[in-house]
Amino acid sequence: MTMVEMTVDRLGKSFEGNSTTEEVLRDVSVVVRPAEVVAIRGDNGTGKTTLLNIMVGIEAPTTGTARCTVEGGDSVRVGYVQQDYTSSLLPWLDVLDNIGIPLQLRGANKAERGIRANQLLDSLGFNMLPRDAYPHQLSGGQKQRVALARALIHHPHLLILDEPFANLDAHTIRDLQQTLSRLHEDQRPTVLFVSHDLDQVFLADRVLLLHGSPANIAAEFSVPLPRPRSREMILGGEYAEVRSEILAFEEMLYAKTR
Amino acid sequence: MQKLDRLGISIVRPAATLAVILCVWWAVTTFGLVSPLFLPSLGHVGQAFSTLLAESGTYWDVFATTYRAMLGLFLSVVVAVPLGLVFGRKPRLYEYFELPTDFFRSIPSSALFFLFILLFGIGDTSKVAVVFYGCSLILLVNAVYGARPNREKLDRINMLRSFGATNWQIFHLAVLPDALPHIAAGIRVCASLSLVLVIVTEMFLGASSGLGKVIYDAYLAYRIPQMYAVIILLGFLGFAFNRLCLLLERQATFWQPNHTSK
Repeated sequence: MTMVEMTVDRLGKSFEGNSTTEEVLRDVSVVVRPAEVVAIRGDNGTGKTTLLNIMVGIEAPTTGTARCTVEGGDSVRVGYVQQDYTSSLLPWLDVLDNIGIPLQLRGANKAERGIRANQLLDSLGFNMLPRDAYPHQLSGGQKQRVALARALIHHPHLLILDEPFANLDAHTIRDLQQTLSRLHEDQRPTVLFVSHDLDQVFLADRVLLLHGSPANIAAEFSVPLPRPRSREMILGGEYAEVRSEILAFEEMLYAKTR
Repeated sequence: MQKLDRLGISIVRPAATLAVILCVWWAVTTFGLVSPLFLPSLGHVGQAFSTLLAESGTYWDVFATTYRAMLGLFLSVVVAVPLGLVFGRKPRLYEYFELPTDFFRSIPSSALFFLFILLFGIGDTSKVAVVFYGCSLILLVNAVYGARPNREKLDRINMLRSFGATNWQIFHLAVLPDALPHIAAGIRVCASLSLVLVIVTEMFLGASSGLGKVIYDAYLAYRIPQMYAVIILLGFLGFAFNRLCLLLERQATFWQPNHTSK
């Protein structure tokens, strides 16, 4: 089984304006071990999305490096759900064709893509998704499901999710969390996800807190819950401890900033 | 039933407007409000129109005009669209060409008629060159705007890049479809323009065939009903051009909210 380790080493990122340079990230270092699930938290504008974009190779770091180390010989397959999933869907492709894009890029024909997309939607329980609809005919939640299915269809070794549960109803979030948890047990991808909701970080092995301007990793919390994870664990005492620890630290940080 | 109603409305309303125009024409000519030298009666024009359709030479003229317009348009699509797509994706490269493009776009094609005669002679080449010049710069700019990245387009490109797409895959899966609505709109504008330019070149650039020449000859010989008949024929030709382009445009933008029909 191919496993991927993500190493970010003293990474910095600045954006050049017309007359100014905005430094967003400075000296960010983190190692995400194979099959580990890491959640990233932080205020809006702290560079979480920028960090993820650098990790998937969409943006280049200004300083430092972000690289994947592969165990098992296969080339790295990345599944990325962008924060703005609406515009990341191709408006001229229907649901099945949008989901099949990662397979299309690897040369799969339309029939094969259709079969695998249908199988995936069935296994994810997205039965209500109109499969021949175009993105403008879908609701926000349906678009989110399409973006998530697209990220999963090629069995990614590295799964990166930027606020994957935003705009979904509580029932769907619970289903998706179970699905992702099951998928992680089966396929063991390395997972990074951004979430503002503390109820969602129970899926993670570690929680990283990005803070400051320019931002870096201000704190790291481990989530010592057994696997497989289930949503009921949120109610348990162990998770309550982790949650309180994160909240207390965040309160302390923001009190300092104010 | 609703579809039938819509179809009825889409036929009845334009037909009513046309009927009013014809009634006004009939009244103006019947009551002698305008000299028949400037506006012949409907009967005379109808007769000239049927004579025109009965002459085999007319079809050759229609073909010659269509051929020149389409060839000029086709060449401008082949040259300007790929160039515009490249410029749209490479804004820094386009900075070298933006000013010259705007400058040459500001020169009316008609001002270059005689220059093109000097360069290409009085045959078809100069007429096609005028159409090419007039259309290519419009298409170039439309293709540039179509391919120029904005936030939404960048999200799509980044999505493909995150899945390991090559530059070619990004181009044909995202850049080209994103640019198509702009390109298709440009082609529709240029289809009408190509006809305008060809007709004028046929009038003044020594043509031996073409509807522009027929209009000019009819004007010189004071065959006013024939002139009107050719103008009406040209109207049909232009309308057909426009409808064809509209059809292509709808195909290119079928996924947009107003056009979806699967």
